Amino acid sequence: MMEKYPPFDLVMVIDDNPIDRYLCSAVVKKSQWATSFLEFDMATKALEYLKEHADQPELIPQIIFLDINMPGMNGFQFLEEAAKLPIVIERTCCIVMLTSSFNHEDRDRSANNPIVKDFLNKPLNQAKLHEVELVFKKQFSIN
Amino acid sequence: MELALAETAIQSQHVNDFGNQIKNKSDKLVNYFILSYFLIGLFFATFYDTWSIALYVGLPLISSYYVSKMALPNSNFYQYLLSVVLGLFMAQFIFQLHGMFEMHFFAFVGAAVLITYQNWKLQIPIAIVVGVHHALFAYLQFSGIKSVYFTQLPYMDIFTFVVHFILACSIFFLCGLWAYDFKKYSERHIDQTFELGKLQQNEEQNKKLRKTNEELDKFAYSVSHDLRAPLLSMQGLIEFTEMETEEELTKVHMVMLKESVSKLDRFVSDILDYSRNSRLKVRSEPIDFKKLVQSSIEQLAYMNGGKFVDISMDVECGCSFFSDQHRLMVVLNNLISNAIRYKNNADPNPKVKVSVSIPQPCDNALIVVEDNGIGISSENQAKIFDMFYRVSEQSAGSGLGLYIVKETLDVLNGSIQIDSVIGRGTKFILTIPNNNAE
Repeated sequence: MMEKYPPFDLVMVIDDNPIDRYLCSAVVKKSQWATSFLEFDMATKALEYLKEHADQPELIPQIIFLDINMPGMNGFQFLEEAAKLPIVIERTCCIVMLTSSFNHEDRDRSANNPIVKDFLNKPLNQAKLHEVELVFKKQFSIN
Repeated sequence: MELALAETAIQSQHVNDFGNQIKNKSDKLVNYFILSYFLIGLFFATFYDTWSIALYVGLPLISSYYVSKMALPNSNFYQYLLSVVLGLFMAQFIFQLHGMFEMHFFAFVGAAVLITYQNWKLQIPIAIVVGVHHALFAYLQFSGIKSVYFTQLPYMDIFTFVVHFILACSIFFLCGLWAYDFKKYSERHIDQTFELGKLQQNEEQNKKLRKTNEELDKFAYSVSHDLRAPLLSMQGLIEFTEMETEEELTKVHMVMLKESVSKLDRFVSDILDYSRNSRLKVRSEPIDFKKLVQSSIEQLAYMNGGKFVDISMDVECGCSFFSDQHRLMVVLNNLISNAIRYKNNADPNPKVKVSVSIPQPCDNALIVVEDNGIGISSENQAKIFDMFYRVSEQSAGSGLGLYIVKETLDVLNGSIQIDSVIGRGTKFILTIPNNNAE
């Protein structure tokens, strides 16, 4: 597979904490990891965005960094709703849990969810981005 | 122990209460009977003009019963007296009706009434009275003494008397047996009711306890998130700034900041580990040691100094192993992070080796965490498992790590041994029982 640079076109972060969103975008930009970056402070808003652009694959993120503990709709509820969306999710999206939870139940629950590809503990850094890239490539080559 | 005594006391209180209930109910019943007996005596007086007997025998009988009951209300004496009184009434009636055979049935009525007290011993006085009465009066009548009435039969042979006697005895025996059975039944019933009550109480307590545990767990979960989330944001920003900045001094400050933050974070997670261990039930789930050790090593590779240490693993597990995954993880994390933290900076190749084996017959897992770090002096080895014990002020930890390891192993019924030489390294040897259900 040809090395692409930056490796991703569109990356999305869903997190209620503004510092963590800022950090995520800063790390992604600094590492030149994605061409564009989308931020949502609420899972419902992100879901709306995905529904609206369901027929425009170029506007669907390849990677979604998803927090678990959020007011309103939490990460797991988002996953449930996202799983109902058509193939878009399966085809272009790679959902990565990015959370401060060290809870084993959260980890197990994420591991058992087929649309979750990785589980990361905060904070995000370059090493973790690299890990996600590997996971994504593996996923892509299998499909 | 005290609780058990208190429960026994409560239960005997219940038995007492029940006994009193029976007594009161029976006393009321007897009031009617004994009054009727007296009135029947008066009625029988009309046949052969035996008014004096009806009054001079009947009145003392009835009053002796009430006097003894009032004089000794807490004793059972009046009940035994009642038994005698009922026997004597029978004798009175037989006499009043000049030996009419059917009057003998009053002995049986008396015996039946006494069952209500649920005390088989009450049958004895009435049986004795009846026996003595029969023997005496039969003897007197047939020896020809006038005005003694026992039977209207012209004669009574010894065979009839014996049959009469045996039947009477069987009736008293049966009534006694019933009284005894009733009592046993009542007692068992009380016991059962009491046990049932106790079970319900226990169940309620358990429910409450479970609820409290669940709430505490939820609390611990949300505290862990709420306390750690801002710490992790800080850590992320610090790492980012460290990477971004060109200022040498800022870089140094960032390293210091990061150390403080991770120390605080470790403290929070240690306390959470401790509270989870002491509170949550031990789980039994299949353990994949390879995965477990690997994920522990991966988690710790990011910690301060982790990347300078060569961490290797050697896992050989021939049989399936069951234990509590989260607790094992806590133990491994603590031991491995200690090994990294206390590496020997003079050594060019700091190393940590984690080996796991399950020797036949698969009863225990043997985990060895070995490092070539600074080591622990023999006088300190005895104290390192104490709560909040830190070897020196330079120790970066909370002083809880090895204490949690020890506590967790206690809960898992495992054990830990230490083998350490200052300057050479430390070796922790853990034995953890296989918790397979078979």
